[in-house]
Amino acid sequence: MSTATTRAVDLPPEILHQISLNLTQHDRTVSVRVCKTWQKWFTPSLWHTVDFKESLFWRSDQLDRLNALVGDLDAQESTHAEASAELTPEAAVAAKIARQGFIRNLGYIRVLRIQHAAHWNLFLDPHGSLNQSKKLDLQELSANFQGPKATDAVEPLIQLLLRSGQLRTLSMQTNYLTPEATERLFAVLPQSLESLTFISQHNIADGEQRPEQDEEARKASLERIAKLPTSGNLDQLKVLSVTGLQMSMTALMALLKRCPALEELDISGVVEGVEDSRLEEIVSKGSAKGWKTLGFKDTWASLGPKTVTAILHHAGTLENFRLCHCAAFPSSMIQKLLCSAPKLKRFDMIPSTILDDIEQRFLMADDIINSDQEWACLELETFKCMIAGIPRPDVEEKSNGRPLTDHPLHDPEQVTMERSRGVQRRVLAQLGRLTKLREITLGVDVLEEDHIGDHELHSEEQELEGDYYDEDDVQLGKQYRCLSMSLENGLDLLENLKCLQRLHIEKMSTNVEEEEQEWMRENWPVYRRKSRDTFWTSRGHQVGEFTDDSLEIMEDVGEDDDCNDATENYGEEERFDWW
Amino acid sequence: MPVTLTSLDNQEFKVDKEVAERSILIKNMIEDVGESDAPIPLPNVSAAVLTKVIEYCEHHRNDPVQVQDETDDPRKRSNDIEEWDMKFMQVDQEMLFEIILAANYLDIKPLLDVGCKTVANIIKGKTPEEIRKAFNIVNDFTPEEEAQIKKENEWAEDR
Repeated sequence: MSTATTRAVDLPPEILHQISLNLTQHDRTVSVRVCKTWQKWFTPSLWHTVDFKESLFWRSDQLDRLNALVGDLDAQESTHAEASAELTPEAAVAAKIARQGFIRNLGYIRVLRIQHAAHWNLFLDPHGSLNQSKKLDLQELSANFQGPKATDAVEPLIQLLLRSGQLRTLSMQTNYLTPEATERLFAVLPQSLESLTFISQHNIADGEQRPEQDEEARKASLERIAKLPTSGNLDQLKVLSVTGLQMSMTALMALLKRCPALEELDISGVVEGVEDSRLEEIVSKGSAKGWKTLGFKDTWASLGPKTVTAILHHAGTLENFRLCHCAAFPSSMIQKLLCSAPKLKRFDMIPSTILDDIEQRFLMADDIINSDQEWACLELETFKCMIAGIPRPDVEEKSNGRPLTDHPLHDPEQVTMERSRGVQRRVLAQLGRLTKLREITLGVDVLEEDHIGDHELHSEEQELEGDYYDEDDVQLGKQYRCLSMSLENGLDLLENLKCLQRLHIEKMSTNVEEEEQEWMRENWPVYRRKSRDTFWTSRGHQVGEFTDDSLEIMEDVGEDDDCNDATENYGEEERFDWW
Repeated sequence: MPVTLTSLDNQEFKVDKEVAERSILIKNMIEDVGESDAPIPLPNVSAAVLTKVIEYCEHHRNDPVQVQDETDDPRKRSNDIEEWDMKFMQVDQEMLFEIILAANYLDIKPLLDVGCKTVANIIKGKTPEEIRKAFNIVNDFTPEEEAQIKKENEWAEDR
């Protein structure tokens, strides 16, 4: 470099950015006060991500300060009224300066997450200090409207969207908005969008319902926003996620028509009024290029035979498929899908607990071995699906000693061990061909006891009657007609799965002993490497009760505790995977 | 096969190809030029700095190639620095910045990372005045300006 002394102020911006990535937000607020040069360097990274969840304004007193600032504090209406104290002059000044800072630095924000309707007041412009036409570089926006003044937030959001021509990711929680407002928002979505998520939770707490707005104000607001320009096709949009649906099918279909490049779709939650035939329409017409990703979670009965057929039509392009807590996807159709989806990488079939008929949610061994086709999904990395209907004369009783021998698949008189072994080896031979597999999950976790049918899975109710009932010995939801995973019965057929990192076989009656564990260690070179596919969980496919903390713990589980993955009991943190 | 590198001040360094190729810049140059005995000029790096950089590359010659993590979440990044690297980075500030600049120029990502983390660790937990002291920086704000900046930005802090 130059002969002059290199100093901290001489580093190029990209390196300063890297340094700032290693700092905490607090350190950044300190760094901007060091000198003018440092202020210039660190301001962009300080304001890069503004997350109101974590900031001062999330506290109720701060929200009220903010409201007061724009002359909007209505102590009667505010959900935080009880927390609102008289605003001291100092507090008012502090809030005003904070707002100035926000407005001044708006141009640096790339990621903005807004949690509460009151936060949108920041964008209102009572003092004319906000340059409404200045373009912003926002790339990611998460917009929530919780609170009593949700509809007031629509206008600032529309303004923000109109100024954000670089926006790539948008997530909106729409349940506090009127359908008109939501549809109006659709009209101004930036054309740069690549990923769009609607979240609409159906269980809003009492007192938090969508507010009745003053009719006249509402009308005026709608008239104003109706005059705003409308954006055209969303040519870049590839990913659409809909959680709960509070928009009309017409609006959704109209939106889909504007997205010619759409290839990933996620639908979760009960979709009111959307029947099988409407869901079929979405699946068959929604993507011009063919679906790369389809995920359905908690859609219950809206997913039926017609939609299943539509999904099978798209098997050729499918890379990621997940069905979680949905209605029927019959075993024969699962088999068909696996035989006709050569690009499939992730396959998650998480059973619905309300279906009594096991063949409507598990892959039955008979469908595999009676098929004249082999699985085509040789690229598959994650396989999560219960394979059921395996003859197991070696299993004689359920936990708590309840006999199983009266069932044809357990009765040694009706089915031999040889037959059992034959079936298992043919099933495992199919799995063994999928040499790119990284994760296999066969076990069933956490079935709600109310919904366990008696055909195969253990049910607590049955046990309560007997003398032998022992609470500690009940294994709810345990599978008895499953792959035994013993070497004798075909585990050796999985020897080419050199990428396999996890074998999850919770709550199955397996015969995994020392010998099998030894074999796994010897034959799977990366087995038990800690790595977990987060494709679906990063799309919000986790259950609420699992906190970020449990996720952390889960990530730490691994290398040091010896090979016991193939056992039946897991800690809480391990369960995350399924749900 | 050894490769010859020439520093800004025309000193020649013979190093194993494998070591030199820790630098993506050099690796690409070698690939473009093909087998050649000609020395590779590095007009941006002084001999003193190049010596340090080569020391780093020698020590890390067998490290697996870093896979670029696409979901590089800054909040999840660890600030842990390996013990050897920590000792390696115990140099005066001028050298520290020179190493960072060289790592950036030569495209040696792990070294750049360690350098940036080292600087970040100096900044962490300090007050503005302590940072000025640590980096020998003159405060060019008036007290009013500094107070204003504090107020404008402090609410953006983590809670």
